[in-house]
Amino acid sequence: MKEFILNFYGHAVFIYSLALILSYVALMWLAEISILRNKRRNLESYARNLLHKSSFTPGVSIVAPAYNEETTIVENVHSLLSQDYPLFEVIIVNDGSKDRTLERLIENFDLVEVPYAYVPQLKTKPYRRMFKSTRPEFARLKVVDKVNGGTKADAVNAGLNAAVFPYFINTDVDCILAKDAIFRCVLPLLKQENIIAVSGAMALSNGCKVEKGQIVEAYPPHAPVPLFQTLEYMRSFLIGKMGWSAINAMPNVSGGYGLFNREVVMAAGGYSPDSFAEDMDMLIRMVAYCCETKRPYRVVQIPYTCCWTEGPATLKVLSRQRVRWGRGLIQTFYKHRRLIGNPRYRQLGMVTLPYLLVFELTAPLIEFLGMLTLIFLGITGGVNWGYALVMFLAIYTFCILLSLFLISFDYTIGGSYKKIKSYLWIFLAALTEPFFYHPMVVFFSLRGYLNYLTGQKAVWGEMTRKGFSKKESTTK
Amino acid sequence: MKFNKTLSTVLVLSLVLLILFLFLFRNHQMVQSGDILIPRAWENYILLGGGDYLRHYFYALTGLYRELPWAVRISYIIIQLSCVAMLLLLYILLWDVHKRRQDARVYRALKEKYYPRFQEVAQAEEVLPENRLQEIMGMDKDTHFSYRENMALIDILLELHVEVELGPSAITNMQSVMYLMGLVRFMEDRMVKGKEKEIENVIEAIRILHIELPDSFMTGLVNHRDVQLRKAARLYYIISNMEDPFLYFEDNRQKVSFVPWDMLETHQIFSICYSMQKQLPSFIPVMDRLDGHEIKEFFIKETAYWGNSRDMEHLLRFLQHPELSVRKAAIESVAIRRMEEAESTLKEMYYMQTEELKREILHTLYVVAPRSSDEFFAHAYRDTSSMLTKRVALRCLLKSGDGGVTLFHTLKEKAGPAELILFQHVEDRLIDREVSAGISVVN
Repeated sequence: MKEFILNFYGHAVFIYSLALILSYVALMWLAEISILRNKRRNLESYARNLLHKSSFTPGVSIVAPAYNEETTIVENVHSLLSQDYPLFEVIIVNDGSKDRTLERLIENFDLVEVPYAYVPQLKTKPYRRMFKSTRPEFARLKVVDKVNGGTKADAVNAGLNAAVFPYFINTDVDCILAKDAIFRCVLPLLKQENIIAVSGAMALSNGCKVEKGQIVEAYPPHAPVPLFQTLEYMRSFLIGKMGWSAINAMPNVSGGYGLFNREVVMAAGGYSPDSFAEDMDMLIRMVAYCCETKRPYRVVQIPYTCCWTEGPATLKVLSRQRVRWGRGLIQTFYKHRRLIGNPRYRQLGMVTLPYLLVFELTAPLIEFLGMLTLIFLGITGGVNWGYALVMFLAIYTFCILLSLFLISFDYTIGGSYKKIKSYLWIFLAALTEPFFYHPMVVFFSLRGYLNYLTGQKAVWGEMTRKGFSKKESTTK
Repeated sequence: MKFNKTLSTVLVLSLVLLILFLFLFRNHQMVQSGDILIPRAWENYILLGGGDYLRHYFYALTGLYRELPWAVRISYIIIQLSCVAMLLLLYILLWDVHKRRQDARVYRALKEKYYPRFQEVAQAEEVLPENRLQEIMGMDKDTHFSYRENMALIDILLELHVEVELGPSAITNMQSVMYLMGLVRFMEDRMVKGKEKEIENVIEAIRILHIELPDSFMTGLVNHRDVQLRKAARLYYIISNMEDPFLYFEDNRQKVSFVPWDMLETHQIFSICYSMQKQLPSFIPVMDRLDGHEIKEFFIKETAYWGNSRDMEHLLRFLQHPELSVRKAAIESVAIRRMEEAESTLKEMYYMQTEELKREILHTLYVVAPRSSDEFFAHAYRDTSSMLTKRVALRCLLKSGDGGVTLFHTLKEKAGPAELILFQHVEDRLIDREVSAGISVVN
């Protein structure tokens, strides 16, 4: 019986791995289709000229919540304000920071309190006051001060209550936006009908040279933890999301950077403050709203790096982040379980959610059980090591191929890094990731699941930021 | 173009690999004995021909793995396919690196040499003769540019046009320079030989660079099967054609969708026509024929921008349109055109509208008839429960002249603490600056 179970498990895992490989091949192919669609584009100078002169150019509000971000807040607000786009506003939501975040904003941007008639269309923790700059060059800046809501979602909702434009960008205040970030995301919005969200690619700023809130030289981080995350981000945006985008089945628009239709977000109820994966939860509810009201919709991913974010630099911080993500994933699936396999929710219900359930939610569990089985069989002498090596090499070479494919993608579309040498670091990460980084991520995800299932109290962990001027500070 | 090159490279490389593979396996038919290769015995009796070779190699290859468990066999296949794919990807990547470096080198060299000269021509305040232009550009009759150099020069010129605002004589000078350098001929050539994407980009470039191409280049493209190219050609045809520029404007037999990007482009084309004093057609018949609300809204606004007074009279009937968004566009168009005669209609319809439309009407009344509407704004403030509508009504009231300011302060004195913030909001100069800058219309 024991032999039968182990044999069955071995075959099942192999078939599961094969299916995963095939799904990645399909995603690579779909991503290629999306990239080719993006290659058909207007001359950049022509498009800019048109957008800058037209009265039909849509306005965009950038909403960035800030909680204890005194180290990076000033440079990042400068970065947000320097967008090369004719019609936008920047809304910083100070979510009850305990450090000098608000004071630094007031000092550096000459802010004064204004008697703003705040209309709470979405429910949030109490609004306190609104600040505006007395300097005309910062006329686009609004700072909303509110009581801490404990989650990013609550702060974004407050920002949406103060926003005036039909589209908004949801970003983090520790992110540095590329100067053309809005421009890049607005183009697909104008060129296709019924777009409710556009996701821009993100990269890690840990290794980059930053001056006055702008990336002046982009390099991949050389420290192992952020370097592995860089590879992970590239894989997620350029293969995963680009692939899903080709069939309008995007599972998520990252909370770090995404452009949304404000009306649809409001109609879907705004961001959910109790969610630990508020970005995925929001997109699922937006799509569900469109499907339920029979409104046509499209969610697209663009391959260009629009946003640079500072990733966790240590294992401790990474562990907290991934535990939270794991918890958020299982929570989102439980919350939206009625959508899974439901044809009413089109691609989301029939393709994306079932796929994520099988290959993302259960993957850490299967991998973990696989490792335990291998150890058990290894001890009891039940492993043909020659064959095991061949099977491992099959998975390994495919992983390397996948990484090489996305490096090639990123470089040929003029992606994150200008020099090919930079990609050698990413390739190095690809060679070593399966041995070191991946097992850790599996372990963190499982801890997240366990925390959720055992009903442990959720805590938004502390994130140590170095800041772009290399000062140390602690933020939540 | 790039994709085809990549594809052909992949095919050539695959062919080389296949030949290499066949060669290696062919050697396996021989038996090595010391330094001598001895043919296998069966080769004297069996003659292989045609597809036999492929079959033979297939059996030879599958035979290698026949004894292995299926999972291991599949693993071997994955390893081999991945290795081949990796080699191909590496080759494509390195080829792209090489090509990009060459492009960058050419671009840098040309920019260093020609950009200051282009600037000199662009800054000349009078139309320069041909020999002077040749002198500035440092060109002689033998100067010839390759495809890559021409593309780089066009990029440099586009960059210049973004940075420098050209006057009429500078445009003429730049046109002459482009002709002298053979860039006009090059673009004409690409219009004929290029692929759809390239032609579309050439049309965009000639619009930015103010190059005038004969109509004949566009007439071949106005019915092109590629939708994007067809749209671009039809829009350019409106500018370039003098006899019947709007010939293709109303033709939408293919039922092609009209996306927001088309609205931006069409609006710009109409503004160019307007500045060229080219007579624009009436959009009223187009609006009546179209089904989609978005396109109706667009042409309602375009009528307000460019239409004559007769068109505007027709437009007023859209104020009663059953679709809210169309009605909103009609109200906005009254503001764009500042139609005072619509004042009474707007006031009559006000109380039957949604809050969003009410705010739009208040804003329009403020634009077309501020002084005679102050009582109306005050009444609108008192009449609504929506804070947003109250805010807009107060803003309009405050800005509607002396009478409005007096009324505003009277209302302020009577306001309770919950509503006082609305008065302070609209009075605040920093928030008002935001509204005046067009960042917010109804806030």
